[in-house]
Amino acid sequence: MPADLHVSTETYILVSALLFVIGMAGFCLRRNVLVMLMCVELMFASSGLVFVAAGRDRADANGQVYTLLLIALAAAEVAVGLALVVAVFRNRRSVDVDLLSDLKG
Amino acid sequence: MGMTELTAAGRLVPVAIAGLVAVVGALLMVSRRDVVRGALWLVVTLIAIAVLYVTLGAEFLAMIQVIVYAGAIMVLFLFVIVLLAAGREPLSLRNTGMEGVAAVTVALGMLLLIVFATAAGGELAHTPAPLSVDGTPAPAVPRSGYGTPAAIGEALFSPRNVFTMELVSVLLVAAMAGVIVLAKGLRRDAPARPEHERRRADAG
Repeated sequence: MPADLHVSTETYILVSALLFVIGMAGFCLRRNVLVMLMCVELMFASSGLVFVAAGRDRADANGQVYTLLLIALAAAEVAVGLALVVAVFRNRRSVDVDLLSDLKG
Repeated sequence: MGMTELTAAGRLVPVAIAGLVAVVGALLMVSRRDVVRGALWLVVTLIAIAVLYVTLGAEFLAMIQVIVYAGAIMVLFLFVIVLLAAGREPLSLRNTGMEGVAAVTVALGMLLLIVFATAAGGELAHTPAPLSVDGTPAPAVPRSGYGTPAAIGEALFSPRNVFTMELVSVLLVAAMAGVIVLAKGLRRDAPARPEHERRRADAG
């Protein structure tokens, strides 16, 4: 397989950057904690795409290994995050982050 | 492999479709009023990313992405959304004021930076291939079977990565313990409110 036939790595990085920026903007702008967590998931997934694309670029399976570890990290993050959301919801009956400002100076 | 006969343009078509679906799904996820629908659009995006993995030759990772990410993690999300009955909330942006404008500006600036860096740089493909684990130069083009479970397992358990993998497993155990503490509450502290309610319900 000649290398020229591959879709360029830059294409994948562009898609990944778009996904990351959408997730970042959503995280900053949405008020619902669950949507914010989903935006974090989106950013995780987009960075995994960069790892795989760069791994193919270098013909190195380590890129895929890091994405595999990244999926495990995302699973741990989402489990803790959702447990926190459930714990906060028990006390506050709300998932609105603007109401959770007790620690704000 | 049938892919070998495809032209460069023929290879670009599935990538373009999957990339477009991923971006549109992400936009719909961020903008939906209904959180359940947002979660389902995120599933669409994650599956589109799995398709991109297949086009990159990472078939095993694509399966993992669908099973673990689009499957297990998103089921957990949907479970919590339904459990909290928080699915139907007004689409409300945070009252951040200028901070929100700053956030979008930074996001767009970062996008432009990445686009220009990849377009202007373009040297990513021309950097010399690094040495592979056994010290020989890695082949410029992935050999077939590069995305198989065997190849990934070999790299995962190589001396270079095995410590990282152990760290991740420690992290998973820590996360599990943390989730149990968060879900049940610490016994010796003041019990959480639901236990009061439960006790009251039992007495009454």
